Amino acid sequence: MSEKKTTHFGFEKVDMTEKAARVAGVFHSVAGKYDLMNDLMSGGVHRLWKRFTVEKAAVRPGHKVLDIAGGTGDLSYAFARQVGPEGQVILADINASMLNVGRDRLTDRGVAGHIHYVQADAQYLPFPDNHFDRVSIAFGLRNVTDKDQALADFLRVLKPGGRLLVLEFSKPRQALLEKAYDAYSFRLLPMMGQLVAGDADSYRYLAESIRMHPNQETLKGMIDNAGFQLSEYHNMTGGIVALHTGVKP
Amino acid sequence: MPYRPTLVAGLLAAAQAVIDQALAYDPGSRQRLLSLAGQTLAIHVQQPSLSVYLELTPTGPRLLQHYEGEVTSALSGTAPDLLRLLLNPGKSLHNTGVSLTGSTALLEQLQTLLQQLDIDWEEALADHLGILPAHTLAETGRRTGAWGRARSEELERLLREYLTEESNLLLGRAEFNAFSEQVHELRLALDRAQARWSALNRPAPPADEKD
Repeated sequence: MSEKKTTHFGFEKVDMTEKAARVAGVFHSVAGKYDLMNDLMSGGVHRLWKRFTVEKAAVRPGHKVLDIAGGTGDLSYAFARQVGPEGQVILADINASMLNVGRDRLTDRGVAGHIHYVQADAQYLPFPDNHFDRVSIAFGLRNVTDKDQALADFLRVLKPGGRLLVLEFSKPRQALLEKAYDAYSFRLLPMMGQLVAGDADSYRYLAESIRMHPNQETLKGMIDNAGFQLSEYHNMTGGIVALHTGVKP
Repeated sequence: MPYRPTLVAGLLAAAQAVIDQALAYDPGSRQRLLSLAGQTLAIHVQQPSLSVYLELTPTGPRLLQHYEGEVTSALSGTAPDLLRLLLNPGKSLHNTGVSLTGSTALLEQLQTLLQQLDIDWEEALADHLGILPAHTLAETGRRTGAWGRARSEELERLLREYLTEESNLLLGRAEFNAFSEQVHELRLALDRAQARWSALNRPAPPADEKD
């Protein structure tokens, strides 16, 4: 009898087939308060991390951009303004609740026509090879069951010369900052989640999943192994978040 | 100082918000700025090392710390030199410590635009306080400003009169003009005298050259 493959769900070890459903449960629960919680948890700084990501994407008019795990559409909104009417943005998310919130929000902000919404798993993207100029994933990769497979699929759908951008929580560079950050994420975060979204467990998972996510150098190695070139990363807010980029050869 | 993308992004986001607000209350300048779309000004700061880009797009200006497109004009200099230039825009970059590469036209257009900026403060106040309080405040501001300008001009006139007419410490404008005119006429007279003197001293032509 073959041994079952396992993966992390926060600090818990779960069967690989279970993770997607467990993550979906978390995001169904927090979708409605996702933006508010992001602002509260980061003190609004997540907007600056995303702003830098959009600048590094260097999207030009006419580009095709895939914003995978795009959630409530912060990056897609910026990309949609930059690609112009002749370009195309696809906001994809595995979670229907998050996708609905994102679609409503962008439609309310007047973004329509050149933006499309697709419910898709980052590991099995329903797009042809060599299709996109940019692929971005912001605060989504750590929730993916098989990150290597997802990175390989990002490479497949990118055009040669196309760029991948991975914005994700990472490892703080200073020990003191790491201690303060740990105290904040394991004590304060679940409390805020309970008070605002009525769900402490989902925010406990958030803190745990961040700790289990590969650090800057490991993720850079994974991006290289997937076949990307010119990979690099930029630490932000002392390494709490890092932006990794790579180019498809 | 290490490169801090979050800090720079925060500063640029704040500056962008100020620019957007200012342009929202000055549609004329906004329209003129939109006509410059497609051009980018780069500002390369040395000490601390930092590059900032002003990209002019069809939807408005964008402040960026990372830009990969073509730059129209680029200013380079130390932070104090660039700040001094920003606060006291002059006609020339000579002796400012700031160097310019690329087109000078964009810089001139932006400078003119900055000088012609005419923000409707009353509308900005009205958005926060309501129309009536904003109008009352703006009227008071305008009256105070007009009164201040009038008093300042009067003070300058009185001081000028005192220094020239009462105390005779300084020369009045009319006296100065008359004196300048006399000096000018004296110089002309001297020039004429010198020319005549030169003519008289010129040696006479030899006799055999005469008819």
